[in-house]
Amino acid sequence: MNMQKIHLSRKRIFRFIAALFCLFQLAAAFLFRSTEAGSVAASARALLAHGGVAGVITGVITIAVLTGLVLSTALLFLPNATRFTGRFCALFTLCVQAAFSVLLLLLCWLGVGAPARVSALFGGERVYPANYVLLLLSAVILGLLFVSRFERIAKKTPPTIMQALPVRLLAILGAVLCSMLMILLIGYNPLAAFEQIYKGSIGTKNAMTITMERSIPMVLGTMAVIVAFKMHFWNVGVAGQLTMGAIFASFFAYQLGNALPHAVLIPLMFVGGAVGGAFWGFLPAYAKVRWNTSETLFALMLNYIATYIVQLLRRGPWEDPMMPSFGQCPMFVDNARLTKILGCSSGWIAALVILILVTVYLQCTRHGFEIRVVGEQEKTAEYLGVPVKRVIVRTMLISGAIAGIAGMLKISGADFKLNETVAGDIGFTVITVAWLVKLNPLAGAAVAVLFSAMNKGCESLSMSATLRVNGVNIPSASATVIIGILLLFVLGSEFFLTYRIVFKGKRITKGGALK
Amino acid sequence: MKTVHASEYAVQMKHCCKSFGRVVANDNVDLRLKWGEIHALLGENGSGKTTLVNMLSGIYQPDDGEIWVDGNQAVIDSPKTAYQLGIGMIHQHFMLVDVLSATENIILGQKGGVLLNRRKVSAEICAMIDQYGFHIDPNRKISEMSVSEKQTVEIIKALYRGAEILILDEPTAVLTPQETDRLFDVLRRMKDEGKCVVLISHKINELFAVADKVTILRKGKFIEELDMKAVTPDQLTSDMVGYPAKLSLNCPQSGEVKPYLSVRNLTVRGISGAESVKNLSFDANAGEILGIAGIAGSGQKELCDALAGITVPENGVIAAGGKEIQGMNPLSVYRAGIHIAYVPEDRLGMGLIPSMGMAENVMLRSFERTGSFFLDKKTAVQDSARMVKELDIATPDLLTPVSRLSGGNVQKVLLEREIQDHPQLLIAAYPVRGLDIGASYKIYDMMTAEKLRGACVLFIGEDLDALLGICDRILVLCGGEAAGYVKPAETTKNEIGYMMMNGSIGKEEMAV
Amino acid sequence: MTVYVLVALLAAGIKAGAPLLLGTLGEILTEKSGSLNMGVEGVMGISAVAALAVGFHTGSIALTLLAAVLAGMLCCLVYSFMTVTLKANQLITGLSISILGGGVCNMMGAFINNSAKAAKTTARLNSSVMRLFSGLDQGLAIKSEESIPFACYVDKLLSGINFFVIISVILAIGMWFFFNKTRPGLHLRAVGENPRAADAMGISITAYRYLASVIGGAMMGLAGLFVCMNVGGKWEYNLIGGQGWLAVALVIFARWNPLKAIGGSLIFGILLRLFLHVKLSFLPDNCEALLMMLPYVITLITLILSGRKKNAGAGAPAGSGSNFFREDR
Repeated sequence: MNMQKIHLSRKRIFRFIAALFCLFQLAAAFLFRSTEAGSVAASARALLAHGGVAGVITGVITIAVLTGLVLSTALLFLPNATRFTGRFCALFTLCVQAAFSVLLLLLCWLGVGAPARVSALFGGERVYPANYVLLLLSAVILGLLFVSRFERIAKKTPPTIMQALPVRLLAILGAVLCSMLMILLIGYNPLAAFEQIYKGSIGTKNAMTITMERSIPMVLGTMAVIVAFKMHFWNVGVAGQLTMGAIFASFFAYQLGNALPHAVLIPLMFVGGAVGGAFWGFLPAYAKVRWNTSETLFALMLNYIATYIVQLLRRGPWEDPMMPSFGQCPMFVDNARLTKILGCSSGWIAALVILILVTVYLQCTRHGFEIRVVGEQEKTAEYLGVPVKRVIVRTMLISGAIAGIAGMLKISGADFKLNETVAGDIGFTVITVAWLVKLNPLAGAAVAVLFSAMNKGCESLSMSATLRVNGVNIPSASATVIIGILLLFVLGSEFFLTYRIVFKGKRITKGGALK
Repeated sequence: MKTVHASEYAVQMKHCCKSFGRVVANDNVDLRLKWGEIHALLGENGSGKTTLVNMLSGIYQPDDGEIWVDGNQAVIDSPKTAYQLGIGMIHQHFMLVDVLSATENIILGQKGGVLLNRRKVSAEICAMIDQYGFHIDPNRKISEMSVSEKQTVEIIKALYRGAEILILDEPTAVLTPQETDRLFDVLRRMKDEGKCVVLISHKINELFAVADKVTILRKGKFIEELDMKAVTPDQLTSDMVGYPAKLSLNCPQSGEVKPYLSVRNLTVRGISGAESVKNLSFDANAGEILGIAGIAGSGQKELCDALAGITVPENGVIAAGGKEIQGMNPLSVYRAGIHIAYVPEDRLGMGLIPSMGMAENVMLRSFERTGSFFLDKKTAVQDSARMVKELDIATPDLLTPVSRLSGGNVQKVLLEREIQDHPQLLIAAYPVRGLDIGASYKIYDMMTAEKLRGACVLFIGEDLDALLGICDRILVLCGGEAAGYVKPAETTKNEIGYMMMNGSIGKEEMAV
Repeated sequence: MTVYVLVALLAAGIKAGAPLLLGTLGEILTEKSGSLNMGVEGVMGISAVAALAVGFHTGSIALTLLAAVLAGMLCCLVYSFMTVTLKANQLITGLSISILGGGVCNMMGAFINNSAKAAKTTARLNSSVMRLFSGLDQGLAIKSEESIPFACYVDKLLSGINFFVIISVILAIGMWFFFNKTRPGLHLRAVGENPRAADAMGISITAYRYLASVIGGAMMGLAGLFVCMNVGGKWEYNLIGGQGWLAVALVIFARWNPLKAIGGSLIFGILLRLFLHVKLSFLPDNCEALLMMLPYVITLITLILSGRKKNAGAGAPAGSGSNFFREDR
């Protein structure tokens, strides 16, 4: 039939192109040196000359991959090569490309050549365009093959946590590899970069302390987001609530900094922070309940307004009299700063307590159940007697208060002065964390600490002397990029847990298994 | 006007199978449809009728089996392909875009120039309307049309695309008896033109009016194909449910009938802001089932929401057990001693939370009422375990989301949860919609049991036979107003149908 | 307040409204097809920095424009891949794109800046590329023309009209025409309102959503380029600064109507520039921040007013925000 014929010739075309690739690789490996095969061979030679275990391992891997390449090319032209479909060859080519890329990374780590720009890494050749073009092309071929055999998708029974684990791990792995690729593309050694991130975040005692300090507002911010998100109230205004909490706390610090004893001032600032954040969280909730506005946009606008309020204050009434016309707030007096426990500000005690409270609140109390019910279905909640409007406002007051406390802890534990940057990237990062852990508070706290470590690590990356190319470092905003990539990969991996892909020719038995 | 066809069979489905996860919807089903025939597809709710025809219309694809259209094997992989093969489907839930006009809906997806020539298209559609004797204005927006007008638009949509095979999925569920007759006239006209019409229904007496052949499905399997001239209603019913059944509804008299619910001059606004219930007054008694009949959108939903305390009525008095409860929220009503149970129309949208398990859904009813700060999960687990045993509910465990239970099981859970408290007033809105006969009759029995226990039961239904069967009195609504009371013994379906469409016929007084 | 100041404000407003209009049009197109893309801010950020990179290295107008448009299209392609094909939650995907986009903008911008600094140059778009940004008054010497009345006012007004303004207005009118007078526009509206119905009619949901997103992305890309040019053709920390979100809010303000978006963007543009042109004497000196807050406050008020109307979502495509899967039971 017509359909069959077209199918066959597509197979032939794929096989042909795959064969071309393999041939090209082989030829280049020994003749031209302008693909990664060539450079790997060159570097392997250099390494073998160095000697040592690393050299031997690299040599073995190189030989194995090149041998595989020869074999597959040969197989394509053998008389009974028709048994192997184009699928296999294209897949193999893609694997070869991927293996070469991994090999490259390995070589970077082993320090063959000076860690420098990509071209220098590979023995001075302008290698990487060709490498990645080939990788892209083979991915395209694989994609075409996939599309031609694709029939439809079908929903599948939801997996258990254990069944879902491999997919999630793969997603994280994919995100890590993608980040490494990005670092490589801008010309840095990705393995060295990740090593520096590790060292800079928890490698030294000093770094660890700073990471713990930074994770306090992160953990609290995550709690704030989780409480609101469980109600399906998309509170993206955590940054603004944090800022407002900081503002209210600063009020007490600046006005009463020296007038009150430490033991009274700090709790006062604490309450101030909670009130400020709660107020800023109340506004979008009220608007939603009263006028049915979109809470996302409303809270976002409030974020910007909060930053401008800080600007107003620091250029106006709270301007540092010692440095007029600089427009900065003064530093906190010692009285207003949190005492340090174990090198880190005592805020972590508050964070821990709030973490436990939130977990219990959501799981075991009537309020927590109400939050879930309102989040799932407002109509049902109304009918069941849940005071929906009250629940929404109450929950947002709590969410905002937690964020406000985070703000207060940040300025009196780390920043020691009020500035627009008090919220920084925290606002959006905590949303990522909450979504990644599917709104589980304990997991959220763990991931929040992890992301703070990432932030700190990327900061040290931007200042490290060793990872500098032509006097330029990787900017600290790379943390946001890595986190963003991770979020996208995890979001995308959900697909593989909800749907199954059905290829042509496969039939589904009763009960859902593929036959 | 008859076209020449390659084969005498318009459609042949051979050994078709379809599963959704672990649920088997169709298991080796055969279907043979001839040209110039009205073929009925009969089966209970959940027997796989809709799934089967969705494979013809391109929305689902068969896991196994073959489909032959007019003598050629066909792979129907999308609705577009189905249209190209001449298959047109009128779905149970209309596939219309509300904000567009009828004309715009009809031409959606058609090939044509980039620029829209509204006038030309309008003229073509008006010609078709005249040809078949429809009564609609094609330039009105869908949101402004009645349910039967929307159904007409769906039919025109299919005909405009040159459909030769028309599939109608439960078309009469939302029509009055008079509208049903008009629809059947249209179907007969199409049969005369040589088209093939497939009618899906579970209302047996309708099939005798219009169908030539009937294929019966039961629990996803093909049972048999019969000639309508050679069967009896009882035989069809037995084949449909699988056991010899003489289904009858009875209405036992309760000993004590006392006034309980009194509604006076009730006015309620719907979502759009218009008055859905207008100055309605009626009474219901404890120990009786009061049926409420009316075409869709006559204000039943708004009436129920007002009675249950979900919406605040604009005007009027609702008195239950002597106390005035209009405008009070459900919790306050409960605390005042009036126990109202509500089984809503949208059971997974309002009565239960689909993603929560059975235990949590059972907890839903009581957690607010107890007033304690900490949740009592243990009692809920015990209660739901008991329910599973008593009502024979099939569920893997108490934590499985209820969205995965069958419709019948979901409804049983909902109703049982509601009547656990022994309510004084039970409001059941379309409680048997989508359920198979066995489950439906169980629900009727549960309602009758409540009535005999002394509760006041309001039964809002669309199946006039069921209403006539188990209710003591029926209140007919038309356009948000009361058209009158009827007693089942003294009225006919046609009379009720007339009142549903046209309001009061002056015969009845507002007897209290 | 002289007339000249008002005219200057108007011109500045027209110019400042152009990126908002472009972003809004892109988002209207996307939302009308049923995809709620909240990542406009990120898309604009990525396009801005991509255009800066290309423009800085090549100095060609055509390539810079191409880079901006392609970057925007690529971002929205990723978005639609994740929501239409992988069926991820639209809201969270949009937020992730805005997070990622903001990060990429900051990271690559800083990188380009630092690299240029290390090479003893500055990373900026050269003057020939910046010609796209300058108003019409540069080409026409009206100021000195005696015969045209109010010559200086006309000249000032024309300074506010540049390439982007013209393109955005043309696109807005074209989009309105597309939605209401063409068949594909009708199909797109159906896809956004009731995807199930449109699918049953044989309209490809996937194709329309992808195309709408990608073409919308092209417009957002242009908006990003504008923002970059607005700060002198260089990069600044947090370059987009919330204008992407303003565009999303503007969509609601304009009730998903491209023509109303023109007016809306003008109003917002004027508000954004108010603090530069107007010194309100009754406020203390340093309250620039107050005036800068205005666009966001106005947006808040807009949101409240739009939510209040009885047919609150009137104009909002009913099917937007949810993904479509044909075999959904």
